[in-house]
Amino acid sequence: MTIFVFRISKVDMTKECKKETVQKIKRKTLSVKARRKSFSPVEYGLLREEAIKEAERCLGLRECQYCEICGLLCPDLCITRDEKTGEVLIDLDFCKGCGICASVCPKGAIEMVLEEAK
Amino acid sequence: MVEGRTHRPLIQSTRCHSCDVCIRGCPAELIPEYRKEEESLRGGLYQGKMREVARKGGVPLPPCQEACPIHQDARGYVALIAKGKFKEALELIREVNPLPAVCGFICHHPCEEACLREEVDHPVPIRLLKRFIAEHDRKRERPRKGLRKRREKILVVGSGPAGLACANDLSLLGFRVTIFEALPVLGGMLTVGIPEFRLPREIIKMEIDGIRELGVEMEINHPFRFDGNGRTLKKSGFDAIFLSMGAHRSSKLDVPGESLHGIFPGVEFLRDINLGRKVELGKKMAIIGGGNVAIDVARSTLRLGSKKVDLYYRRSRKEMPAIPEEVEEAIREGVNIHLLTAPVRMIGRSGKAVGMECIRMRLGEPDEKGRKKPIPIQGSNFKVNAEMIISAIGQRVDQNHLKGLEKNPDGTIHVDPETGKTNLKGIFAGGDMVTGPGWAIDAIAAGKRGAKAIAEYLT
Repeated sequence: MTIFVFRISKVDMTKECKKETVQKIKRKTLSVKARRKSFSPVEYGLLREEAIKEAERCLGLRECQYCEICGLLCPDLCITRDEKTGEVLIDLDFCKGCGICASVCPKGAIEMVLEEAK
Repeated sequence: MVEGRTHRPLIQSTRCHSCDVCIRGCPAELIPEYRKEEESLRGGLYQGKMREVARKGGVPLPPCQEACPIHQDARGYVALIAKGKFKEALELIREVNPLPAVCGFICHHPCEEACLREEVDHPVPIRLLKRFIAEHDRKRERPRKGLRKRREKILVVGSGPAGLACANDLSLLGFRVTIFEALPVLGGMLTVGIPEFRLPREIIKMEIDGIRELGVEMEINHPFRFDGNGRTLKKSGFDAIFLSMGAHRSSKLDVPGESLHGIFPGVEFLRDINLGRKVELGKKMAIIGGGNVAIDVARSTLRLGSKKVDLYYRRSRKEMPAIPEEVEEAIREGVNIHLLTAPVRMIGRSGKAVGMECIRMRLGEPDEKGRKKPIPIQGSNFKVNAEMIISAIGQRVDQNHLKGLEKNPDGTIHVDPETGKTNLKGIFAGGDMVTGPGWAIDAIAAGKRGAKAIAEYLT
């Protein structure tokens, strides 16, 4: 019996993921002068774009890490990996839509969507 | 379980890292009744028993989730935010956190300290992201399945973060929950201990309204007391009680002249400000302490019109228990922080405080909590003037209503750390009244633990 183990070690995470560094966004706050006058909240929240940008910096993002667990557990053996490009391919002609791949993906990178009627 | 099979899966708990792949891949999972079989492997896995075993070995959770007292899946919702799925992100947060917006404003974010991104540049602002999500969609529905399906009534005393978390979890499990709050406002320390500029009142109201919609009854101005003969539970008419009254009494300074007029305890002062009561105020304020209460008092008095606010703390900046960002903001606002200074005597003139005598300190060996112990430097005494002095050097639990409960030497309630059980049957406790003044998220975690223990006790 094979047991799959996902370990996240500090070295792996920082080595494999996006390396580019980002300048820290300065926390936007109420001006010191305005604070003297009222008890209104000091800190401003993030804007939509800022939030998405900041969230994208998370190293554990749900991107495919090519662990191939989906391929191993697919009952129809329709998930394969392209030898040359390394891309994960799903043979949609064979896929029965059982959803196991989506539920086992440790990164949540596979999504089940409703098929359009032909 | 499944009949007619030839092989039986066997999981070696030493090697299982609770990746959950087996559960999620199991086609038989479509029959949810199997999940409840606790003695079976699937049931055990499903109810997280294996995860608890594995966590003791210390592997599987991401560092941010591991650092969080309620083990919030920070990585999960941050990823959903990155994809623009804000609704799903809030649902994921709500699965374990009953007060996301409150946490988004005031959590001391142990997750960010643990964030691995720090190795690359700086941590992901998880708290601000949570705040964004909680504010983004204010009118979202909470899950309402199975509400009020149980007959047992549970009393939660105190409506602070611990009480709210406990009430939320219990009512989601179907129990009938009532909250008694002694003060005229709900929210406990969130409302009376944290000033409005750090946590707007409408945010607290929004969260409490959400919990009230789950069917939790809340009664304000309703103090609760123990009568000492151990029959409080029976007399109250409830099946179980969760105590979360918090720590609302300021600790004494223990220096001569403390009873002079013009010397106020910090939490009480803050409570009066936050309840909108009129407080006495001086142009020149001296505040003693280095915790969140001291910083909040200093910043509040500046807003109320004090011209000069000095804060005295007996250790150095690094040992300050207050959130570092808040200390920085306080300095920006003009609070003068005097480190390694402690008062030895209050100076009064005709019954009113006019200043205090201080002594310089140096840091000695770390004590059992790991904080360096301050040692007074002999002969370094000096005097400072102040119209008003506020001591905010910590809080104690109010002992008046707690007869018959087993207590620790420092006045907090003695409980079983795993379940929150007190020495009285059917009575559980959590939050500041067990740990002493602490963080909101720890109180939430205690409330959730209490809810789980009460549900187990009543079944």
